[in-house]
Amino acid sequence: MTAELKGWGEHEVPEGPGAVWEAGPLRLRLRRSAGELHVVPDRARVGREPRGPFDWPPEAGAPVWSRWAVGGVPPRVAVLPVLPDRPLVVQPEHPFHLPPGERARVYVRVPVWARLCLAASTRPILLEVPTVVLSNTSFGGYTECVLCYWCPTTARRTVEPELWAPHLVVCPLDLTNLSPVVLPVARLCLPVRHLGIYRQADRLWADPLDVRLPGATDPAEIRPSGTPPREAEGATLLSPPRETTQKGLTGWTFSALQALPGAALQSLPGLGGVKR
Amino acid sequence: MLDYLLTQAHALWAWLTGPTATGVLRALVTVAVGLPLVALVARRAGGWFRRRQSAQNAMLAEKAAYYGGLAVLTVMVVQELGFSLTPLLGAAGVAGVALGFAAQTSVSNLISGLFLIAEKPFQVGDVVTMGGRTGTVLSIDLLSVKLRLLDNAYVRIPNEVIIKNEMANVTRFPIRRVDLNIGVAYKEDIRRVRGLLLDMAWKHPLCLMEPEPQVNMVGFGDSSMDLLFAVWTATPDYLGLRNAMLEEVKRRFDEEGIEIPYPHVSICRGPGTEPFPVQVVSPPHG
Repeated sequence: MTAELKGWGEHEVPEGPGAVWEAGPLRLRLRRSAGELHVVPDRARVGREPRGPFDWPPEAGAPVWSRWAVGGVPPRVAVLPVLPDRPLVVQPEHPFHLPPGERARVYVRVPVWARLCLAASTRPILLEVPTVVLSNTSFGGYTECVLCYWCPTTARRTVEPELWAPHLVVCPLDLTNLSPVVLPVARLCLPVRHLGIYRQADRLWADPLDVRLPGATDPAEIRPSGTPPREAEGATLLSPPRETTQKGLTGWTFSALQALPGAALQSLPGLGGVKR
Repeated sequence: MLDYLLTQAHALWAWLTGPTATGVLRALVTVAVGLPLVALVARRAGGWFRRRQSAQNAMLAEKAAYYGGLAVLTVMVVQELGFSLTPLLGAAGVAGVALGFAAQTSVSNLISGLFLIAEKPFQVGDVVTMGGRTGTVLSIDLLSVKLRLLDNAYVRIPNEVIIKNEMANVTRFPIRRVDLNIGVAYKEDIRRVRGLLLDMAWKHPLCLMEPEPQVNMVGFGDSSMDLLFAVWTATPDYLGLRNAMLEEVKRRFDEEGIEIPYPHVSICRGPGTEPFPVQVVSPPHG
């Protein structure tokens, strides 16, 4: 009988048939055998059994067990949420406008990565797997740009029950328009590597980001708060940020691509598909 | 006999204690100490640049330090041996003119190498296409550029050739566009095909959402409507996405019943486009 491991945190992996841990569409299968820990991420859930490390030839597309020799440590692992390893380009489904001098808080849901560590004092990292595979995108120009993940969002203005899911973290953004013109909030680039994750009951929160926008074409000043959001009373730090920064970050938060001249191909009007 | 030996020993001692022998000795010591020192300084210089700048600059700094050190060492050794530098430099000038005529190609490569180093069209580690060959730049030297081709062959290209001809650096920018030429039958609905192709692009994680994938009608071919399906990807994912998208296009088109045509030939006789009559006859018996 396969054991079911619930939620983020430390778990014991039993000998024998192993255990299953789930968050959203991601399922991690774990088992211990002869001083080894075997793990296989299974997102498709197509019902195919994972291939063993010595099965040959490998079956195309079948999940394969990864092995770690962990004989000297207790049979406990920690599964922790971490934010993606690249910046996120967030596009609100319904763009809104920010008048000069206005400040707005929006909530963005981000699918987390599951980080599997040994539950030892140093917490060595075994692997990191995204709960949802996000599409790649770039932010910037054609010659100098940053590779990011694409994250469509509803960018809600209030915290609502449907925001919450075990594999999603809610990141509050405080947008302040310092420019003398109305800014369209159509696309944002968020440096999520600098955000920690807090747990409040079953909810995951990220550091609020303070984004000050001097203009649509000027770099924004972005500052992670380093504390739980005010809505998350009693929240505790579950995962620290991948990178810490003492100073504010400066970045092109608004879409710069729209202003780029000369896309190599021009789309034909009215014949584009529908974005998923 | 004894007198002869004593005379010779005296002469040897005089030579050993004379300026020539001490000069040779000093030259040997200079070489013994100087060569490792020059190598050490060059390695340190390379390491210092490697930590702060690109691999190419580090390689250049290391070579400049090494060859500069060797030049200084040579001058010191020549002076220790008691030669005057002035006639040597004069002779070197004359020899240089002669060598220059004899080594025009090398000099041209040398100067081209300096231009390449100054212009920086590529750096060590970049993937470039030169003269139809694509490979990773292993080193940029004063006379030639060394490439490791995709099939792991080692190629040396003279700098003069690179300066004179067109080359492409395919890893210069962080993103690249994958262009796929796709033909579909004339009976297909072009809007439906376009929608399918864009859907494939948006669902593939290696395909960038920005810049957006595009499908452009290129023209009417002999057998097909020709489309250019252009998707962007991170430069390291170029080949992976290209292969994946070609396979995906074939799979989805098969699923959706969209025909990828191949050239058809119709043989006609008489008016209009009536087909050429073909009659199948039985082979003669016996």
